[in-house]
Amino acid sequence: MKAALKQSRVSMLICAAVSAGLLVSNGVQAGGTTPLTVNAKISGTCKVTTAPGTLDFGTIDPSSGVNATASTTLVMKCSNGTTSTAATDNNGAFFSVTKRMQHSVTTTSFLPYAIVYVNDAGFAGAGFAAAAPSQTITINGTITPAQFAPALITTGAQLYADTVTITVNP
Amino acid sequence: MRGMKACFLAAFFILGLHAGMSVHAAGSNTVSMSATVIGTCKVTTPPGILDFGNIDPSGTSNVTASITFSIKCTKNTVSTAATDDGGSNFLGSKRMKHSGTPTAFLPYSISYSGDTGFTGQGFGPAAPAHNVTVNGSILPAQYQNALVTAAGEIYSDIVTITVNP
Repeated sequence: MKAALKQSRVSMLICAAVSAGLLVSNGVQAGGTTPLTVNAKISGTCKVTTAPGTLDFGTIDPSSGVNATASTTLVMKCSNGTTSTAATDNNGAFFSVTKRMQHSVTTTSFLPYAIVYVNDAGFAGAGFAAAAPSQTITINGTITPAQFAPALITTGAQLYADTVTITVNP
Repeated sequence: MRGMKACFLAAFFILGLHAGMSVHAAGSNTVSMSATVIGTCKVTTPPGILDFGNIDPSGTSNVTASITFSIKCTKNTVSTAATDDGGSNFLGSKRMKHSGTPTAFLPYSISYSGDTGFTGQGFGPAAPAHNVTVNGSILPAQYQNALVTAAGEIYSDIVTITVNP
């Protein structure tokens, strides 16, 4: 008992400063804490937001001496802070030296063509939210007289067709 | 515990609950000893990084991430909802800050599951710990226009989580 009392006197000195606070808080302490680190990255990318329509060269007169041309557009958005680079494509389903459309009935007949992209590079993206600005890319298609002059005719519902997969970059 | 007892005993003296009583008084005296065991919860295994990874800003679904930490609580103390300080960049919502452009932020939110209702069994090594899950979410409207992170750049935040009581 005496030892305990002696200890309490010592403790009284030691705890003098803190005991008042302890009494005020009635022994209730906050729970434990822990830091949590939260991380994320945002990728720099461009995406097609409106797909192109059909690039339709129409009915070509094979006796013509001028290029047959056609255009269509697609719309893209890019990450905020990302500038678009040149669009690319997979050359379509029938590539051989050039892109080619295939005759729907005579599948050994093809009609070569070329496409180029306009306004694909250099667009400074601002993100993908609905109000974020977008960029219209024009796809210009060309068939030269040398390419269409020998082409097999299409009758009735026949047509030449190809499907090209376009990639906007990055 | 001895120190705590002594401390409370000291407190009794300070309060004057036993005013006039001298520790050196002659004769027989009874001195009541008491102690309070605090009902509290503590984090015993801290969480790892809540990493949302590389977010494609063209996405249209919430981006989510989760991580867990472990707590123990005083025996028979039931845990209550975990709280946090809102992180280092709070403004309307929690936000991560871009490491390269410190004016760019990526808002997010977190919620806790398993934080409430755990009945503690104490803090001994054999006492069971309890997992609390931190669920993070970023809405499309929050990330779609976020500034891109170039190589070596990252969005980050540090949140101080408190388990209760």
